[in-house]
Amino acid sequence: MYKAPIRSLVTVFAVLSPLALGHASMASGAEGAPKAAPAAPVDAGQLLKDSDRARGAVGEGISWEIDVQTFEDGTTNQVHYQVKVKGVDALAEAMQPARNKGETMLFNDRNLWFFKPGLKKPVAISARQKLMGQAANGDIASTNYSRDYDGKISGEETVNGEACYKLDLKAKAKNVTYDGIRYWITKKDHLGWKAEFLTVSGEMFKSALFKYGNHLKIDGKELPFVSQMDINDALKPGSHTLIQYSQPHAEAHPESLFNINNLVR
Amino acid sequence: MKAGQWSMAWRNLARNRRRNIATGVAIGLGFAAFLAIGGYISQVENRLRVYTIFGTRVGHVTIYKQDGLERFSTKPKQYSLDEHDLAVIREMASGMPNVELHGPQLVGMGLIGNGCRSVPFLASGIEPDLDRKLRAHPEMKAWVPDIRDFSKGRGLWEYPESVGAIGLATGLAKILGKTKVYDEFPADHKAVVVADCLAADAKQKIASDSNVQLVAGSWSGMMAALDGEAVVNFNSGMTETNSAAIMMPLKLLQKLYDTDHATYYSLWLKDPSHLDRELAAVTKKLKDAGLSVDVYPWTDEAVAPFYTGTIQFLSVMTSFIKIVLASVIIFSIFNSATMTVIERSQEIGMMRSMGFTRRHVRQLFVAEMLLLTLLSVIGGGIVSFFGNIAVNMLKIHFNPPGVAAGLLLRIDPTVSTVAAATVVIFVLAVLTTLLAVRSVAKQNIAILLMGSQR
Amino acid sequence: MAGQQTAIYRQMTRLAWRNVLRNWRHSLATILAIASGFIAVSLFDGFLEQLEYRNKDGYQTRAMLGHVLVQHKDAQYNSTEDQWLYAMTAQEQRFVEDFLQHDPDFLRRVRFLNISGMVNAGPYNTVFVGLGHDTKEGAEVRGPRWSWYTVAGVPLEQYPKSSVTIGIALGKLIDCESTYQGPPYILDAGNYVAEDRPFTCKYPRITMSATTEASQVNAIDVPVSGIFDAGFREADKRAVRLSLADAQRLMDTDKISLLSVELKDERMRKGFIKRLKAAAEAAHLELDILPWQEHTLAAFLQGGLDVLHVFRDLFMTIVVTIGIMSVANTMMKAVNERIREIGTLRSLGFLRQHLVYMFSMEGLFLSLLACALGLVGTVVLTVAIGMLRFKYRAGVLSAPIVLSVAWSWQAWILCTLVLMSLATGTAWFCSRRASRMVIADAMRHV
Repeated sequence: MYKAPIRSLVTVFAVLSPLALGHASMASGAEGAPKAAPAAPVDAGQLLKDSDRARGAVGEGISWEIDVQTFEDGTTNQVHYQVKVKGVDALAEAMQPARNKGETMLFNDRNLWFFKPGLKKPVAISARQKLMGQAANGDIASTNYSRDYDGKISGEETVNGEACYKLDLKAKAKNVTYDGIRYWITKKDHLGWKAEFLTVSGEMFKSALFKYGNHLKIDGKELPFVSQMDINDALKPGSHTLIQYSQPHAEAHPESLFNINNLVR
Repeated sequence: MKAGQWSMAWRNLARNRRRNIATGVAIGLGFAAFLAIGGYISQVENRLRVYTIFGTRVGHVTIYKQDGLERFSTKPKQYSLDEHDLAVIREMASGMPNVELHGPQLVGMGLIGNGCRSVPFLASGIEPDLDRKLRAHPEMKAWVPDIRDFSKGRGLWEYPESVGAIGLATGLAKILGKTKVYDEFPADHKAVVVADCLAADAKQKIASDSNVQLVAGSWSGMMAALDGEAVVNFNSGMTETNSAAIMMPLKLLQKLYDTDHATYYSLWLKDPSHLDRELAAVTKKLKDAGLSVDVYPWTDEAVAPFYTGTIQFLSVMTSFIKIVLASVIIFSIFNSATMTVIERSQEIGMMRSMGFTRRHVRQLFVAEMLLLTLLSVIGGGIVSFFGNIAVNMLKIHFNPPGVAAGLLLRIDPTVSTVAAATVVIFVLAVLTTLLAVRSVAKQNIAILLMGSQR
Repeated sequence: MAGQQTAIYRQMTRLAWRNVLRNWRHSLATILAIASGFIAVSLFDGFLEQLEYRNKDGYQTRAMLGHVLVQHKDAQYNSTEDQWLYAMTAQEQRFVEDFLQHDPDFLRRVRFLNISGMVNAGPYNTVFVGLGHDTKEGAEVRGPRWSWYTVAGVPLEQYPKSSVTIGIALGKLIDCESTYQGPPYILDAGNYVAEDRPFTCKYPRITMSATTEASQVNAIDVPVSGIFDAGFREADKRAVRLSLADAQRLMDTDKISLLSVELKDERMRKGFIKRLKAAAEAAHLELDILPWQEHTLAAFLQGGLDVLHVFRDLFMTIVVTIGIMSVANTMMKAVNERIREIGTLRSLGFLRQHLVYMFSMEGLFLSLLACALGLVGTVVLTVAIGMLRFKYRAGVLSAPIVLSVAWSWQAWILCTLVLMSLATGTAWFCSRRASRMVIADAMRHV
């Protein structure tokens, strides 16, 4: 019954995409630049871990900034966020424009809270609210591939000039938004290159294209880091969200930063 | 008619008491029945009318952006009244002498939460001062006190903007666990954050403040949220909306949707009796000002479907009942008048032979019937008066379709109902008597003098 | 002795009948008053009966609610808060299906699932709130009158593949409208001529997206097979109908919101409910099993009908009272005029009870004639009203229907009995006093 184009959630979730790196990278520690694609047979699970690694999550934490532009019905909106991530927790705060300044999203694993100056307490965003309208973009950006999906390599394709493995991902449990994902990972660097997010019935709902123009220095080594994500709405041609990442750097964050009670000022 | 004829008529009435009492009872009861039905319908019609115009804030005249009534919900920005529209309309309304109250309103949907759970809301944003004036309107007081009055709490206008006053429909308040209102908490109480909604004390924590949070998509496509304090619980009037309706200051709702537009603008007239004329005037003025708007009267089915549908049905039913009642009364009077005339044919013959004209005879019988009707109407009126008091005192609660809190059965005939019923009864009495007397009055005197024959 | 009495009473009966026929002119107004009362009550009752029938038909048949509804416990009060918590699980459904297959009164059942989400058609995007249901069984329950429920296009079960039917107002929002130009197709009861009327959709296939039971996103792509009128404009702007299978596919669930049961004979409802309740209890399942009239779905109707019943009772009381006054009037006059006759009869040896009996019989015959006339009048007016084809709205949710009055046999018989009893009683009462007069006084009466 309720239609909520919660587009700005895109920003927050986009911010959180490096969460996809999650535990795998932390557990294995910073291992430097991704290895070249192993010789066949290629393990889908390993591919996912490798591609996640290319999207961040290091030691005590990581920070970056993002610019989110949404294009819908002929209008454009742009918001600039500062993002801090540690493990499965993330905090994103809008810095510009002035009308959005101070809007903050807190992600504690799968729980999401929204806060802005003037609110007496944070707003708990339910699973259903996350999925309505443009809020689906947020889920794309925060997808944790290796944790939440089982992968199977179904072939090889060239996407935007890059040779890729094509994987069919199936959700391990029902607690993720998209039951299935078609995911293209580059053969050369094991970077997530393109994703198609599928509904329960297997239809494409959203799609995303990634670019990795940034680099993240970890223990003296440079890792490629996502620089752009372009999310398209299959149901609304012409409607898309462009997320541009900048200044990723490792930064130690205290646990208390991600405590909900700290949101209330 | 001369005074002598009236006294003659009065004396004749006393001559056949039993029959006249029986006839009088029939007329009186019929009159009481007319009043009862009229009183009930009047109550329902007035309640529906006032609920539609004042309760739902439709006003006597409603102004939408062109095609806004149909399309606002899909494209609110495009099909709402913008700042310029509102300014022009406000200026026009302020300059119209027959406009008593006026103001813009914004409606919208979203999700309202208590920190753990979110459910859909249907919001109505209105200027608090306008809300106050509407609730203070005598029509609201008279006909929909249960809508006008709050179940709990005080009006939006009682609170400064900083509080973020919001009213919750009683059903919604229950769903959210926010049945206590702002005033029931200490002045310095803070909103309680419920970190674990599955904890045993979550419900208690939720109920320990009046804070609610609204989440919606702003008209610029961004997520928007604001919180407010549930300052009042109210009855939305309709079962269907009582678990989702909220009301709030217009500015606050505009802030949520990040707009300065309004869905529609309503005008309440001092004298709505020439609605068509007012409507035409408003339409012309706005078109001349270059606005693309649609102007609706409150009686338009698109704007007030519940009112028009219900009233149409009730009209059909009550018209039928009234026709039947009138027929039964006519036959009763005809019966009595015919019997009287037949019995007194000799007397009529005598009067004719003494020089009374046919007209005098007719006048005499009509006078008798008028007096009898007068007495019956007075008697019926007394019966109706006390009967209505008794019914109203019983406070019978019943549930007509769609009415959230049900209704108290009240029978309150208005002056116009009483006047109309009286006129109808008298007219029926006169015409029926004339009909009964007509043939006898025309008869030959000699035949009349022979008397009635069985 | 007994034989003699019987003969006297027979004689008095004949006398009473002759008196009524002879003096019909004097009693005309009374006959008309009683007849009009009869007509009034019969027509109103017939109108109410027709209205009740129409509304019942609307719920039972058109809305496919059958005779009995089965839901998860308290779903009718709480499902708006959490649809899935109060939905019928697969286990509950299996239990009910198993029970139905073995119950002798079961005829058919229809399952329903409430759904909501977004409709996308080209650039258009709007909310839908709809219903998935068993299409084949639903058409059977709707019967020949209501099975064709679309104003344009075809009903779901007529379309060869998965499809959706949408509300008229929703269709307007996504550029999907009827292009029918032919003769009127709406029949007297508000139903339609069963034919595929043309419509055009700018985007013939629409995508329906929703949040599944598990809060995942899902979407299905379906063609629009028809357009229907959901009645209330606010509902019509969002209304969709699709098959239960498609609805469950969209919501990725095997649950349902409601199950309706049609029995072979409606009168078996009580027994059926009792059996099903007992079986559910034995299986430790918490289900609400009730006639649709007791469900909140029908609250709207029931409230309206309750009010009308009050009207009818009040109306009948008044009409009957006025009728009695008329009879009293006539009988008092008749008795008064015939006091000498009473004296004469008494002097001939007839007893008081014979005379009271005669007048009572006159009252009876008078009312019988009046009721017969009333019956003729009722029949004529019922036919005339039907021929008028006057349309009216029987409430906010319905399209205009033709005003009609049912042939209410029970009302006619009851009315006749009541009026005859009251008229006889009134006549008896009026004649008692006169019959007590001293014979000489009665014979001298002027």
